[in-house]
Amino acid sequence: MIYLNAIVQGLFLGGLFALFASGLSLMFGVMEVINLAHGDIAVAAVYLAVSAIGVTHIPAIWVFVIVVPIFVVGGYFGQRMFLQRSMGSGPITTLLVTFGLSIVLENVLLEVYSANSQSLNVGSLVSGSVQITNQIFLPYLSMIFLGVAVAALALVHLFLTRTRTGRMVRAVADDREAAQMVGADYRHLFGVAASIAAGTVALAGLALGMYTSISPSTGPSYLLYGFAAVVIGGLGSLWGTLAGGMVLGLAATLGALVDPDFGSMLPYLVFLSVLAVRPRGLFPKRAAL
Amino acid sequence: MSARAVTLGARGALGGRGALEPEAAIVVTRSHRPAPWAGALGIAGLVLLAALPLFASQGFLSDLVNLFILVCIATMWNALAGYVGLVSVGQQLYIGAGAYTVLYLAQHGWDPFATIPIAVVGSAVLALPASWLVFRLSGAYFAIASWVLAQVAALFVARFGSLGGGTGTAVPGLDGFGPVNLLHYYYWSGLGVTALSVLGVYLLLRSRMGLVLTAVRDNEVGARSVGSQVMRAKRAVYLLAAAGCAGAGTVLAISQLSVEPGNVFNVQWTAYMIFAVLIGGLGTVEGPIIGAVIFFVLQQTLANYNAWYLIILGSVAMAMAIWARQGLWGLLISKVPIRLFPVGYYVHTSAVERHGLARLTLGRTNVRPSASINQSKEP
Amino acid sequence: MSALLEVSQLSSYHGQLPAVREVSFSLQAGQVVALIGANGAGKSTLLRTVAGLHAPSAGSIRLDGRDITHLGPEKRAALGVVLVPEGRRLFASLNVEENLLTGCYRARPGGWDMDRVIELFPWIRERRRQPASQLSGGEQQAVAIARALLANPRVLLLDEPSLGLSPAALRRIYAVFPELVRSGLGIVLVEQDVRRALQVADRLQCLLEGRQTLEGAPEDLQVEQIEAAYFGIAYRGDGVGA
Repeated sequence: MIYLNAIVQGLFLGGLFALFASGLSLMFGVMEVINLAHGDIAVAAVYLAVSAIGVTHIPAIWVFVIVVPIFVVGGYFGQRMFLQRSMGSGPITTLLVTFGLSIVLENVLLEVYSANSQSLNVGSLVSGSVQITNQIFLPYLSMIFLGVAVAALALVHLFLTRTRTGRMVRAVADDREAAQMVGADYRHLFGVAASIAAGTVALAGLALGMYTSISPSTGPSYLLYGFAAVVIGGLGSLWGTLAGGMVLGLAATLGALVDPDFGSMLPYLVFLSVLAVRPRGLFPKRAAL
Repeated sequence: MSARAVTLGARGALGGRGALEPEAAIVVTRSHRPAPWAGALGIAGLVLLAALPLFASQGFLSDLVNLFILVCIATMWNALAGYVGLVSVGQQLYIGAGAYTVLYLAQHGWDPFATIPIAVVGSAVLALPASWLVFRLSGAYFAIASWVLAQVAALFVARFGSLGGGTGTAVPGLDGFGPVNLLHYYYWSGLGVTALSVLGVYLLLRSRMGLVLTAVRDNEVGARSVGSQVMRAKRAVYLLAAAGCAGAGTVLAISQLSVEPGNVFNVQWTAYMIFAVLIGGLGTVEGPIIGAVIFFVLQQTLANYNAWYLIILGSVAMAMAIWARQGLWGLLISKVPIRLFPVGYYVHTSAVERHGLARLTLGRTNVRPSASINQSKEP
Repeated sequence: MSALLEVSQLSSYHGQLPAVREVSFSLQAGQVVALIGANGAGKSTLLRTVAGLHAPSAGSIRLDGRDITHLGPEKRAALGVVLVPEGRRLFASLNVEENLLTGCYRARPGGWDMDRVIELFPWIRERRRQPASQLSGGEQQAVAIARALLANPRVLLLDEPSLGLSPAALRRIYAVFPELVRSGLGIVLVEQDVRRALQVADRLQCLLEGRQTLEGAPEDLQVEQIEAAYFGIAYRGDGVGA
């Protein structure tokens, strides 16, 4: 019974990992950039939310209304003014610049907010749950997160498949030059992809901040979980990413049954095993025409 | 000169343009002999540093140990990224491996200083299976996999209560030395580890293997023509970098008197390496040393302002990665013709000239048969 | 009257190799200029330079009198200079219809719309939900041309549309040429098959190692003259200009 509960929890946690991963997957799929600061951006969203709540006194559950748009806009300009320049000097530079950004962001948060951990207080929602049997509980918050994660992934999917701009984002991912030949400015589309990535990861960060407490140094581990979800689930497939996130979520909750540290280790071990067997992930990106 | 020359297969290097007879090949040789005074300068510097405990203050000496560690790990990271194009974000794995080897052996009655060579060699051995995994990957995958390995190692050692678990524990066997002697011993250890690391990287780069690496670094076609050699050389550099970082880890463990997983396996160490190398200059022997010194000076100057030194250095490093990739040393040597430890090369194209091929590209140098025969390439 | 497209003294590098050297030509609306030449003569590089994918090292490109030499490729496409690249380059993860819709992304106003390209290639209607990667080479070429037409170009740059196509597919592609020309489009065609190029071209340009070796209307040129220009051998004909 305890396993069943862990499995249910794992699937909920997996939704959160997938939300973390979707932006990474999108940015890698579209512009072949792995943003090593991805996790720190999520953490920054939590700290910004803490400040926003302090100023506006809005309920924590609604703080995403303020925070997510800021990250959506910031993602676009961060890409156009900062990452785009580094992409001009080759993939190594992009990797180094985003790593530098990760370290700088972490230390700025440390200086501004101190090393104390923070969480977003959503009151009674934290403890409330629906009891299914006498062993299995479905916490409200977890259900909300899974719902939000699936809804956000579905929205991104709809954007990419049903809108003009979304279609061009996919086109530019397939073949940048050919997209330019139909008048697409790839820099703008890269900015759009980055802004979606920043928005989703900010949302994931806020959910995480309601679920558990985080500190400035939490970012990298969520980057690594997110990357693992992308690799396991297959690049470029949002639903594969959801599956990958759930595999990791299960590994985390089932590992935690052994002991809490093993719960953080098992997802990494799963990830390394996948890399050892299939270096390009279980579902490598489709080759271009 | 011939011992220092590498012949790149003509067919490969020329993109399979024609059937050239075997002797028609491009010969690559060193661009510069080491400046004769550079070796003397290096030895004099080492002697001076080694004699420093006789007259310098203890505080200064213990600061210098941190500088040695920084120079050592920056040099190692530069060897990986600057010469074989491997961007590792997980070199803290080997710092931790070195530190924990010292701790483990010291707990079993060894003299901590005697464990240093064992930790260095042991970490290089550990790096071999790790390389089988991470060498199947490239680019961001390599970077992240190396990072994950370090995270797993940190979580793994934290599971052993005897090694101090998650909070760490003191390295036993250091009390007997007395504070001043202990400081002097680990100062000399740090100096020795760092000097050997820099020398090791320099010798590797000036070896035949290093010549292959530097010659093909920017040239895909050339790299493919000597693919298996490059793979072996990459692995050698990876093992060397593991050994060097482990050496830094041993000195870190002894100088801090204790080992803590959250410290030795911290990704911050890799940030130090990367920032120092980017500021000093990627792909030169001198760059990381200069970068480490600048890093260290700023760290000391801003010691009262917590992490702001890291924020400033990180921002400067990012800006330099985008706008001044050659780093400070690169900016300097573009103005002043000095090469302390040259690892650049010449491309001799007599064969190309004989066959009248229009153009040949190697490195970023455009070699024209009608122009001078020797083209130099400095990283 | 100023030409629709005026290329003058254009030079361009492919990597570090000079691939196009001081090439000039002009194109009128409703005209087909064919670029011929051996492999590596610089035809594709010339086309890509006109499209903006390579920066020229010298020379200028004018569209309707306006200097577009320094505009980015996407800006040129929006102004009506659209390249159908070598090897079709359809978007692999998009289906046929989505590939076509990308052509409308920055389309100029004009006569080409979805209905009209389906009229041109009727089979597309049944297969518009198929992934582009499942099409045959000839079908991919048709979709690539249709995608370009949906942008309502003024100048269509066609890079080796016949490459890898069966003779039947080739005929179908060339069968649409008269209609394209009638719509007032100017076409620059790179073609390996010289006979095919001569059939549709109003002007012929021959390149050899990046240089123009021959220029003229097909009916004014002797076969030997073209051969000489193509292979770079001296022409000793007696009917020059005849």
